[in-house]
Amino acid sequence: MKKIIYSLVIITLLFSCKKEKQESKEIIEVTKKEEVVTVYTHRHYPADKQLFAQFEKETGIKVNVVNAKADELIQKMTTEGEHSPADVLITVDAGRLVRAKNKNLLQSVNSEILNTTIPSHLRDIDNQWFSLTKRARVVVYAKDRVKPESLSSYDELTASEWNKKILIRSSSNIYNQSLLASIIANEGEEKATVWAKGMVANMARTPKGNDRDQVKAVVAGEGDIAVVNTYYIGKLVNSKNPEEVKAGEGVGVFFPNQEATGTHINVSGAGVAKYAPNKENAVKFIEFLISEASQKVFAEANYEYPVNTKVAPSALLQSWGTFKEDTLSLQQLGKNNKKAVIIFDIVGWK
Amino acid sequence: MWSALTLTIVGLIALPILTIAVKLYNGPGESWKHLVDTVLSDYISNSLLLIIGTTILTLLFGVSSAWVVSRYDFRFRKQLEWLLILPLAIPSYIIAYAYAGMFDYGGTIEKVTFGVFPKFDVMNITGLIWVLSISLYPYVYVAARTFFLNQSGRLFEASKVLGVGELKALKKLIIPLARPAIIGGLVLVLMEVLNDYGAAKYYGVSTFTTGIFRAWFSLEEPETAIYLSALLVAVIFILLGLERWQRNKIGYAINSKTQVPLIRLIPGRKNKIIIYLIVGIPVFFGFLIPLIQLIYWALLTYETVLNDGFLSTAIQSFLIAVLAAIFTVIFALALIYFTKWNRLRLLDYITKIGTLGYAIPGAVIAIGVLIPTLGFDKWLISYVSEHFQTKIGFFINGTILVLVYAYTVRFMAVAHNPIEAVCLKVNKSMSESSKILGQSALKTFFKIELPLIKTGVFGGLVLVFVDVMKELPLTLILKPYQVQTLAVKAYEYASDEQIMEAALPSLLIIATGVLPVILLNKLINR
Repeated sequence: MKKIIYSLVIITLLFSCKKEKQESKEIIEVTKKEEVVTVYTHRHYPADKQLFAQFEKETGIKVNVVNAKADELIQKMTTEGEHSPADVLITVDAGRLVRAKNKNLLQSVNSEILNTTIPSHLRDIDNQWFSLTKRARVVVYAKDRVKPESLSSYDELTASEWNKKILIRSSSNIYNQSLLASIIANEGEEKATVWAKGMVANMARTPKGNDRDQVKAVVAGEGDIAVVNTYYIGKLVNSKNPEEVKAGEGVGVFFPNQEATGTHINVSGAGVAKYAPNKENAVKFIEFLISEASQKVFAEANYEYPVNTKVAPSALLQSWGTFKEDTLSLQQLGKNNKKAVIIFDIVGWK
Repeated sequence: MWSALTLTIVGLIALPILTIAVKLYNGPGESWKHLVDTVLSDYISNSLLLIIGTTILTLLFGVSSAWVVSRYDFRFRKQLEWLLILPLAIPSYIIAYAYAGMFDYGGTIEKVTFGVFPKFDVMNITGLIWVLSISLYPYVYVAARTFFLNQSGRLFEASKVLGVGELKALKKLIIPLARPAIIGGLVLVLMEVLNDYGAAKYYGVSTFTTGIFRAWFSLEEPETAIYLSALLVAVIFILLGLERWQRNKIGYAINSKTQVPLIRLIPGRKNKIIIYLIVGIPVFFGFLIPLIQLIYWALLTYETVLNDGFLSTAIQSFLIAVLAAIFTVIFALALIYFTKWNRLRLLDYITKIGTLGYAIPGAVIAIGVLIPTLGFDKWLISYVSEHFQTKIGFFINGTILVLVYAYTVRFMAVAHNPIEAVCLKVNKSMSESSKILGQSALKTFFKIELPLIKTGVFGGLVLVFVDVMKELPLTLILKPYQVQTLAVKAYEYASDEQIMEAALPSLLIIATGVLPVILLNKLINR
């Protein structure tokens, strides 16, 4: 019995020590008033880390990073409520930013820099979120088998000539959901359903693997064309694995819908959290990320298209040529996301 | 006082799961009917196929190899004993990626055979069953071997005296008696199978768990996701219940006063080949193949991946895993013994709930942990600001405390099952005599029971350690900012389709797993 009491006392002591330590830490923090910005981000690229360090150096504001999937970060912010330490939320697609906005997790920002630098279709109507970089969802084709002239639009992919020739990943992937959401917004639910059904009928195999795997399968001849993100082609061409480089170089990039609404794009973007304890720093942080210097880093290191029009994309991206992008307001992607998923389930797109 | 303490501990462990259960009460989201109409049957049939397939394969690999290394002596037996546990140290989804890379277009197999053996499609449900079985069979192996080594010596002696042959004794006596242990291992396998997300998603197989994530994030209906997890948990409850009901019909305690070590046989030449096949296949496919692929990838990418932060990441992972393992085992012991000492029927049931964490996806557990701990934090914040007029931040959230708490809830079953299996074998009379002689329950525990269940306790420690090293979704949500783990590092690369870059952190996860596994092995042998 004595032992229990002793051990209980020890445990309580241990815990109280811990508490005191933390409390004293907090007091120090208060007195020092260290400037911080807490970033909840889905992005985890070396380029980002480099930029965060640069921001700390330039402004003296410390960047605290929480790295997880956007969905989980949104869930975390929801649960934390008004006490959430998050200042900035960064995602790798527009749909989730819209979701965060709808869940009342973001706040409007009035920044001259942000408003003038970022084209209007790439930011929220209430200025609650702003795009940082762009990626295009393109068609890649086997250079040795397919003539690019035979390609035209997303819609045309459902034609019988591509029967058992198309490779595309699972509908659980947000980029496919966004693509279908954009078709719903542009052409209506009915046409979107017909399109999705046509795609399923033309698939060379049941969807599996990631975007890189679709490209590899095209080069290996399992299909002739694939729908993928430009970003991953850049990654393949610059891979350390010679097999991946071969795959990346074996395909040509085609920008669909040039005669119509333009190629579907998705963005990586950021918004200021509704209960941001450091709102000013948060705005500064986002402004920093779209500055010319930062956008150059994104463009060169990460094969993404910059949103700052003064910055040119990397040489590789330029080699694919310029293209007309779909200027559909990105809010539509978030709005129609759920409808897209339901259509995918109905037409049996795994 | 015992009852109060018991209630607190049991309550702490069950709290997150009960939180989720309460959420169930609100019913599923509006898309529930849509799911039932379109994809639910797919989830059910795929998950059932996975359960059946992995049950057969893990039992086959786990029990046969455990038996062979316990009963026979052959060259490299000692090394193979622990090599057989090692696949457990590799996250399943990494094994899945490695297999895909190995058999892919231009993959390793194609290269080393100069294209004679071209691409072989592993990315389907058969491949998934194989990958999961080959990475999870060690749970069965560890449980079965512990039993064989401790118990079968006497049993064989007895059956020999009665003139029963080796095979018959194995079939009629040893395997049935080893059943609780083997099933304990199998339950862990199945929980992990049902929880797998990364491998199934990559291989394009729609299971319950991929469905849970789809409902939660793509359909934006957490209620529906929780409903799906509840169905999953119900399946596991039914399986557990069936097993328990069957087990209760037979008594299992063996009087182990005189432990006779199993005498190892020297196999003949023909048997030797079979033996090497039995132990070689799981080691080759579960450990060597993924390892070779990972090393190849690591060699291609180490320049970009290896930097000064890497070592500190590795150390942090290790320390967190050690801490979590110790906490989980202490709580598991508390659950087992406190319920024993208190004859409250109700506690028994709550304890069962406490071990369900393993079956629930890590991300869902994280929510179950966040809600009550944030509740506490928010209460504290308002209390402090009311009474002290100062503003404070979150007190326990974003600290190691919450993270370790979540691990404890999530991996309770991993520590609980092996310890319980050993406890079942401990003859009650010894501790009863100790109590009759006037010793307190706690003293009896430390002096008599703990030494007897030592192997189970260490087994639990190692298994939790290895699991925490690999854990991902929960860590991502709950970890403090400054903390970085190897699994998170590997995930950062893998989620960006940089599978090759993920190889080096994965290799380090394996390396940190090796030492404890060898230790565990020594303990089982003793």
